[in-house]
Amino acid sequence: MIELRNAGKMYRQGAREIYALRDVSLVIKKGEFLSIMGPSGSGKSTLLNLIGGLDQPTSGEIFIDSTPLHGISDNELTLIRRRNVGFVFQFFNLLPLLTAAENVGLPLLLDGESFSLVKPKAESILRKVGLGERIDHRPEQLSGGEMQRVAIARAIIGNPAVLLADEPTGNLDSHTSEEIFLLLKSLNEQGQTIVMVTHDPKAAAYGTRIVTLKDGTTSQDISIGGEES
Amino acid sequence: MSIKFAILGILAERDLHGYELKSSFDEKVGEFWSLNYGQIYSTLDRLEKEELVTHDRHVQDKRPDRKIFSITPQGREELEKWLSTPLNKVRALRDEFFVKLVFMDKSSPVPILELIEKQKVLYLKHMNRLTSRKVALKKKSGSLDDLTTELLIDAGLLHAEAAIKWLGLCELKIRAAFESNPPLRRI
Amino acid sequence: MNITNLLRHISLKHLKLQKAQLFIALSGICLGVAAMVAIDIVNRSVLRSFEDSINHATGRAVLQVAAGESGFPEKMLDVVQGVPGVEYAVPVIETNAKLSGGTERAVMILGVDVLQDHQIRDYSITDESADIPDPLLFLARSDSILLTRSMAEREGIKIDQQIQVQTVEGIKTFQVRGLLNPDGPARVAGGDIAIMDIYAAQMAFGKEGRVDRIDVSLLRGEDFDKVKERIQGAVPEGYNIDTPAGRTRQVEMMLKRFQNSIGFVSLMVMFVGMYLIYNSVSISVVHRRKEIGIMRALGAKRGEIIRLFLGETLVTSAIASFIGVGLGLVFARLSIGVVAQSVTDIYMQASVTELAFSWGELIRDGIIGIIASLAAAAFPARSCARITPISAIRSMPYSEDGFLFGTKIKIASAALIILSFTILIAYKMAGNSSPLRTSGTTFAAALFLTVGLSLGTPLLLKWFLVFFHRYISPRLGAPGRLAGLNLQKNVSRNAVALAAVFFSISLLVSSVNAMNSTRTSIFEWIDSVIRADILIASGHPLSIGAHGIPMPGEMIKEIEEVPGVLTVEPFRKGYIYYNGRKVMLETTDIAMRMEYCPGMMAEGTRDDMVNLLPGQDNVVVNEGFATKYGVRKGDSIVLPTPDGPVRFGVAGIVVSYSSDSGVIWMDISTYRKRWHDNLVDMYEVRVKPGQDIRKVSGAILDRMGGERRLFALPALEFRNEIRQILDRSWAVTYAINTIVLVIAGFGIVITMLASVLERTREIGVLRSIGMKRSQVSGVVITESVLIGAAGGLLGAASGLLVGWIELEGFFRIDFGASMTYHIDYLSLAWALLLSAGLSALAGLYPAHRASKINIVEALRYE
Repeated sequence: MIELRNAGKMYRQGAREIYALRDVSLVIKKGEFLSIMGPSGSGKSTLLNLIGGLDQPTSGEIFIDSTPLHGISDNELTLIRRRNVGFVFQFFNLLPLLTAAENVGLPLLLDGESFSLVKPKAESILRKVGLGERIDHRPEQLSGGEMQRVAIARAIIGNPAVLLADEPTGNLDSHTSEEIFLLLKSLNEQGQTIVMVTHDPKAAAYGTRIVTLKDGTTSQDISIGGEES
Repeated sequence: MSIKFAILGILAERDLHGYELKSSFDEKVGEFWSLNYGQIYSTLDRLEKEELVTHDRHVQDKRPDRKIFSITPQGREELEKWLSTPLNKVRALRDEFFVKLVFMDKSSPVPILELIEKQKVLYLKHMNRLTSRKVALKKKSGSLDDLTTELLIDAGLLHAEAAIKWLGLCELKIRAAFESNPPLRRI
Repeated sequence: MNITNLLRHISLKHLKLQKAQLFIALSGICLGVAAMVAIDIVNRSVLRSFEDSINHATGRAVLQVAAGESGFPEKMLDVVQGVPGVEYAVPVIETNAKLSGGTERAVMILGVDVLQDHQIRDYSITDESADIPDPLLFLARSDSILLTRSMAEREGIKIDQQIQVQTVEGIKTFQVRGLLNPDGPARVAGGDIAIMDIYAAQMAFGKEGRVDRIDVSLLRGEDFDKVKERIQGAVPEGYNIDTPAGRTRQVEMMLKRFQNSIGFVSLMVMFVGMYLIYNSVSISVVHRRKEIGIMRALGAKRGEIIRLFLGETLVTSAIASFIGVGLGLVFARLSIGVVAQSVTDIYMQASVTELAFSWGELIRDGIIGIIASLAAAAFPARSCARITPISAIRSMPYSEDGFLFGTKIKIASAALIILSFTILIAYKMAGNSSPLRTSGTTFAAALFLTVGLSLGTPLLLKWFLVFFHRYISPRLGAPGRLAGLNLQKNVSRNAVALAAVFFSISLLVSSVNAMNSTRTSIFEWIDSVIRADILIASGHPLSIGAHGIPMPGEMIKEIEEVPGVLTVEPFRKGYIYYNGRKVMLETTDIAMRMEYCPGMMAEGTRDDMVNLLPGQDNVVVNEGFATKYGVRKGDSIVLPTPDGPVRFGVAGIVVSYSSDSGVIWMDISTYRKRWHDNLVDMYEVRVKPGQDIRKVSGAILDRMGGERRLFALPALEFRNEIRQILDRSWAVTYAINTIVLVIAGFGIVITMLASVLERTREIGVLRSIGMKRSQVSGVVITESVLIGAAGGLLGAASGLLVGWIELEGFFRIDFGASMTYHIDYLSLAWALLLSAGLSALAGLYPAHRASKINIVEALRYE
């Protein structure tokens, strides 16, 4: 379970204070597929960064499985990112030099596991996301959709508490996007908590719950989880 | 008027009696069109008069006779002609919401913005439902029928998306208009 | 350890991908290590050759009693032999001679007591001569001589053959009685040695009744220090009782300044190498910003990223250092000849036969290379920590300037520069005896100044670009303006390249100016000292003192009789011991010298010299001596003479660059009286006005040539030769300066390549809207030239200052000589031209790459 209590993020620009996010309180339950919607500048990426421990709030509190993400050292935060969070980005952000399997195994490699142990795991996850034939390919040899699948595989290899996706199909055509969403959806159905940020209602509609942000704070919370027609 | 072709299309696959026709209709396009039996039977009557459809009477025990409908050769010809003709007319904008927009409160943006918000939520919920159906559909090993259903769902999603986007635009423009021309000064 | 994971999976791929860049980046460290290794080996080899020579010549002797070059009375032998605890005390004459004919090589003559010497030294005679050297037979014939087999083979000399050798007494004929196997004493001076009986040697070399040295071995069980004390007590003051190791140390001390100065330049190569590493790691950090951001997002800790970059540096610099060590061996082999020649020219005969190195030293130099690399990489690697995962993921990997631009760095830069000036002012204010007055102080000032300016290069580049935009770029076309803007876009990285150019130009300008000042001062001094028309010596006049053969003092009469000769001035010089250390004693006819030479007085007057020196126990000393031993005009110093210590008054202080161990001037009459030495190393002849110098010198040679071989060299030629020798001794410095410049050029290549790679897309856009290939390369070359010009300007300015600091540090303090700073303005022009030209050259390849960018691919590339 992820909990935000009055989380806020403020930047200073000279004397001005700019609030990217103010007083957001939100509880994300285990197994939820939460879509966070909002126009650009609404603070949705900031919110995702805070949940993912890429950034720390300037006010309020954030917990993942009751571990606080606020007021801890950079190293502790880094370890949370490494072990409890999986990221999927709009621009895939794969390391171009590494093969698919190496990219997928990177979080485990960072944790000090040897590649001979990591590789079978990475391969099995790549097969799971339908890339069993692409294990030794490098990103430049993959299509956009395939790269995003690799990114998803990388995000879930460490069995994270939550998978965070930031406009995961922003760079893909609609048919490929659908495949990515179906993949996310099926992961969600297997119990993976997912938080996805998007401005695209089509993407948001895959969530079991939709939260909309406006001007740095939540404006609508639509829970429709699992409701069939 | 395309109910006519929908019925011809269903009958072109196989002969059906009225009840079966209705459930087949619901299954294929029910997401967008809901018809009652009356509408179906009146359309069938019209089609029989145009000699595009005929029926056989089927005698049953303890129950009234059932009519089994089937398509005539003229009917098939008409259907094929229709299928191969592209649409000339673009869908008309005849949403009730437009009427509300015309008559909105010109002194304050608040009511209409609230309305827009609620409308958006409704559309989102609609999309969410459609998406759930699509996901369920995708999980089955898809028949050709499932494909057409999926395509219809896609159409529904895109329409809803367009509506949401348009509503967002409405919101922005209304806000901007009220900010640059405060109603007080205009009056 | 997860760093090994990352190194294997990430770094290795980067390194494979950028082999050329990697190669260039590491070449600096590689060359730095190579230079260090080479210089260490060369220094060690030169020293080792002296040490071997000394050890072989000493045999089993553990103590040596000596008293300067003129030797001491042989009656001391009985005194020393009489000291309790002494086993054997054997006399030695050690002098220089020259083969007359053949290669005319200098030969060391060792005169020994044939009956006794085997107690100290083992002579191994070749089989063919085994029956001959019956000691008595050897003794009976005073023309007997033993040569080494190696020399005999080289010169084609056979046993029983007669050879002619130049000696003080003129050309003498000796009969070769036997040959020595290359063992023991036969290995002294690289085999260029001959053994004679001591009495014959005394006769032949004008040392009747005197010996140069007594070699002493001790009775078993005697305490070394006690015996040494006893001998010290038995002989008069001023005798030097030393061990062979002590003599090696003396040599070492003498060579120290020379070795320090070349050691210093090897440090400089390492320093520029560090710039290169710094530069390439900085670029690599910028280049891999996105990758770092992704890894940070996936959970790589700051420390892990830093360690990753340091790990890469560690691995690659270890390889570079390893290669550097190998390269150093090659460099050493190539340069040993030049260095040995310089040492021979300036100090003493150095015959280096083999390279000497120690594994420990090689490993140490390699490790220094690695540590230097890590230190250079640490700073940019640390800047990785500033990369937030968010910023890296969102934007493209360009700009994000300022990671070398922080306030802290500006403060550090300003602080270092201020510190440097404070040190300089304190140094200037401090008195001669202040502990601040060491070359360490000036070195620190120069280092702080250079590092401070290097850190300040981003700011300086910014200012330079403001100037460029205001005054220069409006005159240039679009490429010029674009170039300026591009440089502005990534000031910090360009600043690093600028810093490398700055550093090397500064080094070049400073060493050229320091050398120029030294040259000018020394040449002015030589011109003032050597006022004669003809120099007469038995060897080349350059070899006097070091390994020349003196002439008898009576020759002066004969030379004076030669028609056309106006005056003849005798000159004798040699080392004596002062406070246990070797100093140079130079003697001449002071009155005559003062008449002709505008001698440079630092303290005292010329009249004092003429009035107080001749015939009296007064001397003058040079500045180096005065500083080193704290002597002032009016003080008195005690010098050892063969008759015991004598107190001399100091009548003044003069400028002399003859020796860096301190120089004492004395009138030759005083010297002869006190040292009973009537020999002369050189006669300086002035001819009567209107006489042809060549004819007169021909006449002198005709008159003397029969008895001895003489050199009569017009003074002008001699001065030119000294210039050449000095210039040769700086050859190593020049070579290293060149290497440094090349490395700085590599720095520009790396920077421009990275810049072109990053701008692929931008260049694609420019090409698509109609920029010509030539214009694209024009932009890149202009950028490169701008960096070079800015670095050149800054380097020239700081080089002038550092040059002065070097002069102060190396010469005023170590050399003890005041030298005026002579600015070589041409060198400034050269430095600017070179920096611009070199950077244009460095820009060529990146420019070529830029112009070859495929437009379609560049635009597709994201």
